[in-house]
Amino acid sequence: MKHLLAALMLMTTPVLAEEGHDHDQPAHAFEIGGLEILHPWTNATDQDHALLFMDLHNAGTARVEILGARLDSGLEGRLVGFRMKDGEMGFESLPPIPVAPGRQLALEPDGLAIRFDGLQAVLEEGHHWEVILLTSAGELEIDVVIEAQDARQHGHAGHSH
Amino acid sequence: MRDSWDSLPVLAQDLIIAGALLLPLLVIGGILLRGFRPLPLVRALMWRFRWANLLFVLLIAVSTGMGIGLIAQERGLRTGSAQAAEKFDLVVTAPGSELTMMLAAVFLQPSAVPLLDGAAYDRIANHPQVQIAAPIAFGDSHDGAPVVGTIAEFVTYLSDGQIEGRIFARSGEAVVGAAIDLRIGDRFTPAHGRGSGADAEAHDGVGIEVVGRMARSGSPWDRAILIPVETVWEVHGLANGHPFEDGDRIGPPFTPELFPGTPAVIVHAGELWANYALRSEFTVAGETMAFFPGTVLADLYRVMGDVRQAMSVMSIVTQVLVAASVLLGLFILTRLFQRQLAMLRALGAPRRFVMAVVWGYGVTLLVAGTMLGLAFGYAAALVLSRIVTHRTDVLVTATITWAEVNLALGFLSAMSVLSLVPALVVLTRPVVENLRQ
Amino acid sequence: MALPLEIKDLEVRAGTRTLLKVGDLSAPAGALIGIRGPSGAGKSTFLHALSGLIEVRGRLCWGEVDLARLRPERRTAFRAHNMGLIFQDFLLFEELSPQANAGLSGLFRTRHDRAPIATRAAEGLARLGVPQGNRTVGSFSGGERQRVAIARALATDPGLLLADEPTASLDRRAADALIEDLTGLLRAGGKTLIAVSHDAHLLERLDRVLTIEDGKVTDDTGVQAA
Repeated sequence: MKHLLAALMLMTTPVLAEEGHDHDQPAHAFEIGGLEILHPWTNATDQDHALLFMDLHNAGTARVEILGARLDSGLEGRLVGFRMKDGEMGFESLPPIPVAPGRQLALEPDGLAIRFDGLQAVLEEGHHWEVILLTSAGELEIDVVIEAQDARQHGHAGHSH
Repeated sequence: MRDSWDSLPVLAQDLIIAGALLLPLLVIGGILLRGFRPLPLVRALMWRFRWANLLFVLLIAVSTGMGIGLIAQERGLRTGSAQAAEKFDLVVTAPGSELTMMLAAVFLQPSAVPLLDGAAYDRIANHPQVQIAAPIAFGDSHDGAPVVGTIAEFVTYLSDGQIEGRIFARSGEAVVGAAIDLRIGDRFTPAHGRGSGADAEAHDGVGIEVVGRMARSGSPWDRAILIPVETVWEVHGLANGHPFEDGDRIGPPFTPELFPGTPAVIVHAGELWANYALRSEFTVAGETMAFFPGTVLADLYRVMGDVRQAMSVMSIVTQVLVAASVLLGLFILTRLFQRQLAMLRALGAPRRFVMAVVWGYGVTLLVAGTMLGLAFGYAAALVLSRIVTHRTDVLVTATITWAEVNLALGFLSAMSVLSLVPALVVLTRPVVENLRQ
Repeated sequence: MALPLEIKDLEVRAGTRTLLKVGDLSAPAGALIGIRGPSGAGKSTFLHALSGLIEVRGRLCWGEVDLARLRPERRTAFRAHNMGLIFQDFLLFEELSPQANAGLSGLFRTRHDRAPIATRAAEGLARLGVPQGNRTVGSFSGGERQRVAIARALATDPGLLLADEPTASLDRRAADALIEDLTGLLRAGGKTLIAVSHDAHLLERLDRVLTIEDGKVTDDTGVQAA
């Protein structure tokens, strides 16, 4: 009985530790040319494709176009939009999307995303992924949080900060 | 390997899968039957146990048909509802449940929903990326069919311009859906409300003339009567969105202060990408909510997918139970004719021939049951589709695709392998013992 | 081709129990031999041993072939090519025509053998006076059925015919007619017959009658005067 209790405590302790909000993580906001990039995230996967999501807000004075993204390895990610066609869910390639000053744009599941095909490495939950975002205002290295395989929103969703 | 597979046409892939699924059956059949002619004996057994055989075939057919009908129906429903929502790229409403709003605005299910005001509509209608911003107004009905107020542009867009007669040009005119029992030139008075609570006399004195009919779209809008949104407002004693000086003009632009409100604005953007940008822009906390009906449906399908999986598991369990009972039946029947089989061995028939007869008999039952099952499944899907289409006006078409065929073939193939068991069991008993019975 | 029989120290056992023991026995090709004895004495066991359906010890030679030394599938093949079997209750496929029943062996023989088997089946049926046509044997009388079974046994042109109580299911008249036709056919073809039977009418038409009691041959009347 004692052993069981000890084992249970061992099992629960790390979980409890993780539940506390950890503000020491790398920043989840990036900025280029007035364009703010918030909470970039993706789903963990061992397949060779992934969708990149984020919230964008143009706080600057000029319009910025989102062109796509690329990895250090040179692999390009392209903008895609979720479409329902004949009852089948799928993605369509999209041209660059402008974000006008003061406007917001959400890349989110079943909507807009940047899709990578031909990934070499496995994306593991809890890890981070270096991606270079391509915009008309320049390139920007962002740090993407890898959420659970079945996550539908980033881990900070619902927090009020 | 993967790439060369992906590069094949879908039909070729399906055919290859079907072939691969049938391979065990064909290999076993090839090995067992080579050089032999067991068919007359299989026929004799089919005839001898005809009632039991009929029962087995029906059992297999019903279980296969159930599984197939279910899958086909689920897909039909999915495709049908998605196609019904296809014209609705983006819907903007007051914040609330996306599902409720979608059911109200796209599938015309009556529900009380909050309204967007004239300023909100104006902001949407004047956005540079927005091509059509259609306000809609419901609440009235005629003969059970919803009377929906909207703008002419949207009617043209919804029907792809396929309108018999013409589009409404002034207040008091109507374009009816393909399934509405009114002819061009007919006049009607809308009832206030829908369903059994509709008040037929509330709008006495109002006469609306049918001037056009839309082509069939396979959506609930086939059973709707579309009138200018202004007419709905006027009938209810509200401002009609236009200042007095505008005279009889209908359609946008509307004066925000004179705009009585709309439960939803159906938005069509000039370009595909703009929909995504518009969704972000029109999602304003506490003011408006923008959603893709396709996405809401996708969420719904995910739930449906879970249900389908649960049902698939159930139908597989049923299949397995049927398979077990058919195998048991084969055991019993082979015992009934094991003297004859022993006689074959006594006459000098090789073991392989006796196995070929027993296996061929089992597989004949399975093939007949599976084929009949595909027909049953198709018939079931057809009947269910008719019912759903009739009740919801969402055009659901029943189709049997390779997915179902391959499911049936997989079952057939697996069962054909299992049918070797009774065939082998027959051979384990000594010939002499079987002869003596 | 009929084959001579030669048996030496034949023994059939079930576990530790000896079911049948035959010391020395031989018969020339073309002999018609009857086997009688009380039930449970080992008559059927002897017939099964002679047909290679069970394992035996000792020597059991049909011509040059010693069945005691053959593996089961080889014995099956030997049976297919050299023996015809007749059973007390015919064991026909009631759903099939007399021709299909008589030509049954063709279903599992090589393509080369099929046509001759079908031809001999038809000839045998004709010679035994079986009504031809599309009627299934389900509607046949016992005598007609046993004639179909005989045609089936002879369709492969075997040298040996093994019969287990061939007349037991028939009435007297049918049995006598059958005995007449069967022995006639066999003598004409020079075939060997081994028939287990209680039927005195049958036994008295054969060359030799063995009596088996308690697993042993207790009487061998030898070649009877015709």
